[in-house]
Amino acid sequence: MIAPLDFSLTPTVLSALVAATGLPLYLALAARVPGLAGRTATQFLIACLAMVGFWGLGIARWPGPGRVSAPEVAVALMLLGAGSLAYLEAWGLLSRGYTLGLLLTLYRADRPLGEKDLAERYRGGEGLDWLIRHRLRGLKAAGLVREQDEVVILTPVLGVGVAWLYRLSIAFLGLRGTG
Amino acid sequence: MTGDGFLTGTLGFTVYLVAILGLLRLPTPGSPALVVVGTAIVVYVGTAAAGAALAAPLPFWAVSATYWFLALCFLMAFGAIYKSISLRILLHLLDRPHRAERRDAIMSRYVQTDSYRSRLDVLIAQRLATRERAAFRLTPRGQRIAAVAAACQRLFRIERSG
Repeated sequence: MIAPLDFSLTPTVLSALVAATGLPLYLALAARVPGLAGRTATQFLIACLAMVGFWGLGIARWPGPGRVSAPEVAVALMLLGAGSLAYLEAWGLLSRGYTLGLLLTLYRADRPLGEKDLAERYRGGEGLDWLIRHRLRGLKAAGLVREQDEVVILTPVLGVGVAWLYRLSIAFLGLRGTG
Repeated sequence: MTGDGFLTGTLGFTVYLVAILGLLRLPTPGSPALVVVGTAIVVYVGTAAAGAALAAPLPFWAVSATYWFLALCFLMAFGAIYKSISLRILLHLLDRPHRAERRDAIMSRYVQTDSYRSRLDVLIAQRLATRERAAFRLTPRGQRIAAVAAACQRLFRIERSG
């Protein structure tokens, strides 16, 4: 212990730290499971379940004094949660990042690219069209928009509600620009 | 004990939120994303130090777990608000007549011009790319970061990003 900070670890919390540190490994393994190729959300879910499973195994197997207390479990769960969110942020960037996608398109090109070429080569040649198709598909699946005769329409309750929530969030945060 | 840690972590997060709401309204250099992440780290260090001074010995793991869980929840939400093209599309539709827009107009606005140009500007501002006679080329820094990202994508079998 470095006074006045107490760094001592209980088996419950130590197990959580070890399990959370292994999340990239569980993700890398889940990505290699046949049948899960391209199903990134499912891969992440399975990796998180594996993390929780290893934590539970650690508590069951690690010798330690006394019973597991509720505050220890709360600390451990928050550590697992924080670890999951941190990796999700990084992994989300790797799998969905628009700017990163442009960077990687330039990286894989054999020459400098103009705006038009860069847009066409985005995402291995699928182009920026893919981006809007993908985002609209997600918005439609969530019931936030519908499409009719090539016109995208905000749904009256859910779509309008989420749009207003987004507007209020931008105002609350004081952001001068987004996107 | 652990309760002190929870309380200190929660108070630290509250200070972080208040600081962010002030800083994002100031004309600070650098992107809002850097401001929110940098502030999270600074406030965390301050929280641990202040908490230890007031309630020694302070349970480090309880403070850290509480603070970072709350901070990361906020950062995830902030990331979506700041960068999401999907949400910007919704906002655009909200202000349109009949809350509707042609698909090709959305494409033109958010992908080909608005968001696309702003992302290219980010690459240049972050010194990841340069523009030479209307063509974009990666800087050595951009090459290094792209190489690491490409290796991570291979590791996690992520075929393409976007």
